[in-house]
Amino acid sequence: MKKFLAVILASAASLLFLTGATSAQLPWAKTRRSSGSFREGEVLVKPANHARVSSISGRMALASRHGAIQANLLGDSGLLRMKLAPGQKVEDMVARLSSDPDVEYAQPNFIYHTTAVPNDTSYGQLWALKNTGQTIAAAPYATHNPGISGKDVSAESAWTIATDCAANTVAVIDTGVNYNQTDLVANMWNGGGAYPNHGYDFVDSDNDPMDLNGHGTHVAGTIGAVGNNGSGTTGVCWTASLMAVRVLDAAGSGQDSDIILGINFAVAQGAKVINMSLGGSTYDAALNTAILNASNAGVVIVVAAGNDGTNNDGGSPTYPCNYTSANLICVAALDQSFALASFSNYGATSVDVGAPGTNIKSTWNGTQTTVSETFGAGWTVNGATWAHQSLAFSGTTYDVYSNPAAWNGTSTTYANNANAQAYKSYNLAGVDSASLSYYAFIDTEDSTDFFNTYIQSAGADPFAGAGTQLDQQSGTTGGYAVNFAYDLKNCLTATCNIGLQLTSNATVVNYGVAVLLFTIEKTVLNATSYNTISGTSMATPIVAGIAALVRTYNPNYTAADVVASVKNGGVAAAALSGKSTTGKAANMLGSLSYITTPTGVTASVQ
Amino acid sequence: MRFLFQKTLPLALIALVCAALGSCKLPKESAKNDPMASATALHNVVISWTANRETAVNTTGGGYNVYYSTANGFTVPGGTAVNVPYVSGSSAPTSTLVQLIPGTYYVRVAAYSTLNTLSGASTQLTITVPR
Repeated sequence: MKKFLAVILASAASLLFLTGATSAQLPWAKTRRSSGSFREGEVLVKPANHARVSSISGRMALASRHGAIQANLLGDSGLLRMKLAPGQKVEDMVARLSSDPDVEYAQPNFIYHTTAVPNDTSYGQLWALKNTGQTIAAAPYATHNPGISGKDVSAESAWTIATDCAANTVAVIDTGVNYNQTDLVANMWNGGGAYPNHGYDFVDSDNDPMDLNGHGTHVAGTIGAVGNNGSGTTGVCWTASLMAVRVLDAAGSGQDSDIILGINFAVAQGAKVINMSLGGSTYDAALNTAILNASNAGVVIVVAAGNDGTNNDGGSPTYPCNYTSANLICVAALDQSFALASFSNYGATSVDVGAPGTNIKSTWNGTQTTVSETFGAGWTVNGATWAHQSLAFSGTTYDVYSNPAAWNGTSTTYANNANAQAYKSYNLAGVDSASLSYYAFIDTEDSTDFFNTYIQSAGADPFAGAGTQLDQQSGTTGGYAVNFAYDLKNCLTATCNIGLQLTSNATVVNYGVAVLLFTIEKTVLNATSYNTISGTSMATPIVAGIAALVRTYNPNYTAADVVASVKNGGVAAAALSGKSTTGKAANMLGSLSYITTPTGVTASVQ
Repeated sequence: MRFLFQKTLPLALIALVCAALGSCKLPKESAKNDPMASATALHNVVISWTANRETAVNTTGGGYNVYYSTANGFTVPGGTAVNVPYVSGSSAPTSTLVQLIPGTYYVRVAAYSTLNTLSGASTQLTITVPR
């Protein structure tokens, strides 16, 4: 039973929290410029109009005469930036230089705190971009809400340098994107005549990658919701080119084969950054190859560390995070105080950087309603062995539907030669999508005794021949409750019957099946929804946005340069020390201002 | 005063000095053959590096600093700095000429921009300027 708690907590953290968010209205839109502080140890000098300081060497001599340890000519401005020796005061040096006849004027190197503040109405809720110590509304993650002012990605100072990412398409390989969302529509990739809906759907093999889950729309908005448009949220990129690549269904599940097709599509269609806020525990050589090919093609691939709260390097890897392509960046989630989020995976060799990943507000695909099953009424039972129990696990009581009826997971067993069926009708009419999610303890004789899930859209008995099997499980979940999720796209009727079944042969009986947290999520699409959720999935697109911003600002950058700027341009975060390759939190300003170390130095003596 | 003295020095006195030293060559010629003098002769050394790809390095306010020192393993900023700023065109210069007397030097290059005071320094290059 102790094991159960661990799984529920970890898995609950990985759920998308579907609480509706209300946004604070902040009716200001301005660009603030202030000055007053100056850079210690630096002075700006304008040499006088004398022949002896007209040459570069003459100006450098002027600097060294006054004891500068370093001097840069600031382009053709004529200004000389002098770096002072340790202990030299800026004020003293300005006075000294000002009395030199070779100097026209000297001044401190003032720091201009130029900030670009977008006017999006929910901007005040976007702590990842600007952490003022604000409390996030409708927050699913209670810890450190509010957090610490200043723990953010330095967006406002970065935006004074660049806000545009449009030249570098970012592929969102996810549940699709609601490309009609008003805060995204202007920033969607132009797929031309072949891809009029801004991408492709590899789940249904058509060119409509509409998001029937919400996750992908949220990710897309964090990268590039239109900035400074007076409504909603803003992405890291104010302007962007977002490619929707649907590889996960309404339940958030997908096959590696579709993900591989999605990666190949993104590369072929010219994406320069790929965001994959997804993961699994199984190594897949073909998926690894697809990522390697993308990396070799000069694409930066940003992926999530995973939401199990575990060490990816400790024997339970998460893929694609644990793949090792050169241009792959794996991202952990930080909370509002820059502590590692409780659900975030980490790894000293697999995870690269951290980024804000709790209580992240972004665009959503529509309005969701959740039906939570309590197993109290409405079930048609054939075989009379499925029954409702209220069971407490570590102090919390759950409604459980089990077979055997007196399931306890430790002694009571189901019957031989069983065919125990139970189903219930749900009204799923009038929605654009629906998904089923439950947790189940499973313990059956492997390959002979089965736990099945069925649907029947016309209100008939799903086990009577007209039903569709969604899943079949056999064996054991090892004493854990495991999450299962299914797209109900073939059952969007007023009489959708969902059925559970346990079958057994004549030998060996085990502890059976217990189902709990059985919920159905129904979505009606619209173009104006937002949602505040948590996950390493939410941290990943912040880094993907930074990658696109850096690459657009530096058109000559290679993928390796972008990766270096993301990793080295971060800000040291104690929470990531020893838990990532860099020990750093991603930072927009740091990455934009990062300079790669010069290479290829040679000399010829003449 | 010295100039005046040289100007008025009698030729006879020069001859006398030459006799006392046992030789009398023009200073220029003597430098050519004097090992002590050649040790201080300046040689042209062209230092080049691979262009950085940052936009801000290759625009006004950006560029490189070349550092050299006779101290192996010197840190940057340190040694003698030569500033190579962006001037015009699509990129900042990627070479510079320095004049060095014979000896062994260690060279490192770092880039800067208006956004960043200094990049990391390149790995150290060793150059030997022969006599």
